[in-house]
Amino acid sequence: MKRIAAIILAVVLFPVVAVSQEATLADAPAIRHQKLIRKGRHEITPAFGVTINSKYNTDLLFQLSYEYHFFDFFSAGVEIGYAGVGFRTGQGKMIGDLVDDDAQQSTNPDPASFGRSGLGLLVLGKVSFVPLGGKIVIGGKHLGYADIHLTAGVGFGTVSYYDWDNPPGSSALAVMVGGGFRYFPIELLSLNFDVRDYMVQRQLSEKDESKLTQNPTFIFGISFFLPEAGRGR
Amino acid sequence: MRPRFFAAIVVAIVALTGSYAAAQDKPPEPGEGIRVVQQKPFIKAMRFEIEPTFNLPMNETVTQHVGVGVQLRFHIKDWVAIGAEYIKYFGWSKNDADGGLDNYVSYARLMDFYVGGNVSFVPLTGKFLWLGQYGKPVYWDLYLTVGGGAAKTLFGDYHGSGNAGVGFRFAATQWLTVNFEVRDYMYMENYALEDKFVNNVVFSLGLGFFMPFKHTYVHPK
Repeated sequence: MKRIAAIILAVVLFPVVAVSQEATLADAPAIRHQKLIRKGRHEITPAFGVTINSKYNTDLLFQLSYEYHFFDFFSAGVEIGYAGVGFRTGQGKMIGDLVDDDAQQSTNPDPASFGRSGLGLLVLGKVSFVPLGGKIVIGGKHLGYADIHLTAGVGFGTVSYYDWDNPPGSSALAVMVGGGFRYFPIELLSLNFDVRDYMVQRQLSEKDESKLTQNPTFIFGISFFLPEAGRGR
Repeated sequence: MRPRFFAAIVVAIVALTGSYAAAQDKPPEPGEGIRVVQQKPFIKAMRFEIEPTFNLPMNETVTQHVGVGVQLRFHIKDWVAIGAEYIKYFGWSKNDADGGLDNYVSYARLMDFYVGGNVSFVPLTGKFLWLGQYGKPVYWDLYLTVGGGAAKTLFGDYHGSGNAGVGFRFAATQWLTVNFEVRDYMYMENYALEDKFVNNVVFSLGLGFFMPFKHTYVHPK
C-alpha cells in the first residue's frame, strides 16, 4: 500500500517539479552564478598618472586611493596624490628658453619673467559608479572580468610654482570627474586605465588670471581587492 | 480484491499523466533547437560599417580644433577590417594671455582636413551587463588601428601622415554600434623656421551603422 502511495506521489509531483524548473530557467539571469567581483570588497590602489594637454607644465601624479564597494555598481572612498613634480611642455620650454636667453631679453623684455604653476598635493573624497561590467575574451578564451566606471570627487589641492618670484596662495578647492576601464586578470587585483579631470583654481602663469583650470590626467593603477569575491544568483 | 482495484486506478493515472506529458513535450525534430556551437549574437564579418564621427584633438596648447568626419570599413573577418576615412577640422586660436602666440610661438598652424585609409584588428572582445548584473548583455570589442593618408593644414601644404590608435566598439543592436577611439595622427609640418614633427592626438566619438543590417547564419545541412 505504501509503495503504491509513493508511486502516486512521484507521478503527481514530477510535472510540478518540471514546471518549476522551467520557470526558474525563464527567470534566470543573463549570467548564471556570476561572480560579484566588486560588491562588499575593499579596493586599495597605488597609481601613477600624467597630465595631458597642459599648457606650460606637464605634471606627474603619484597616488594612493582606497574605496569600499557597497554594491557591485557603487563605491566610495578617498584618494591622496602628489603631482608636484613634472617637466615643461614644448610651449613652456620654448618660452623658458627665450627667458633664459640674454640676447632675447634685450630685444624683448616682456618674457623676462616666466613664472608658471602646476598641480601639487591632491586630497579628495570620491564616489564611483559602474554602469557596465562583465567579461573579457581573447580568441574565444575567457580572460577575466572587466568594467567601465565613472568617478567624481571633491576635496582640496595645493599649487606648485616654478620660476615665480612672489607666488600667490597655494591651497585651492579641487573637483574631479573621470572614467576608466578596469580589467581583472584574477579576482584579487585589477589593472586600471583612467582619464580624470582634476579641476583646481589657480593661475597658469604670472600673466594669466586665476581661474578653475582643467587638468586632464591619464592614470594607470593596480587595484588590490579584498576579501574574496562573492557570488550572484 | 481491493489492492488490485487500487493498482488499476494507479496504472490508469500513470498512463493518462504520461500521455498528457508526452502530448505537451513534443520531441524536437532531429537537429532542431540544438546548437552544438553557440551562435555569436553580433557578427561583423563580411559587413560594411559606416560611421559618422565627431573628433576632438586633445593635445593642443595655442590652437583648438573640432572635427567632423566619416569612417567607412569593411570587416573581412570578425577580427580584421580595412577602411577609409575623412575628417574636416574647424579651428581657432586659444586665449593668448601670455602673448606667446605673438611673441614666441612659431609652431601654430590650423588644420584643414585629413584623408586616408587604415587597417584595424580586434584582439579583445567581451560582454557587459548594466550595473554589472542587469538587462541584456552589451557586446563590445577593443580594436587597434593603423593607417596612412594625407593631412592638409591651412596655408600649408599636403603632408604624408601615418596614424595609430585604439578604440572601443559597443554593440547597441545588430546594426548599430557606439564607438570611442583615440588615435595619433602624425605628420611633418613645414613651419617658417624649421620642419617639425606633429603629433595630433584625436578623440573620436561615432555611431557605426552596419550593413547588411542583420547577420544570417548559414546552418550546415
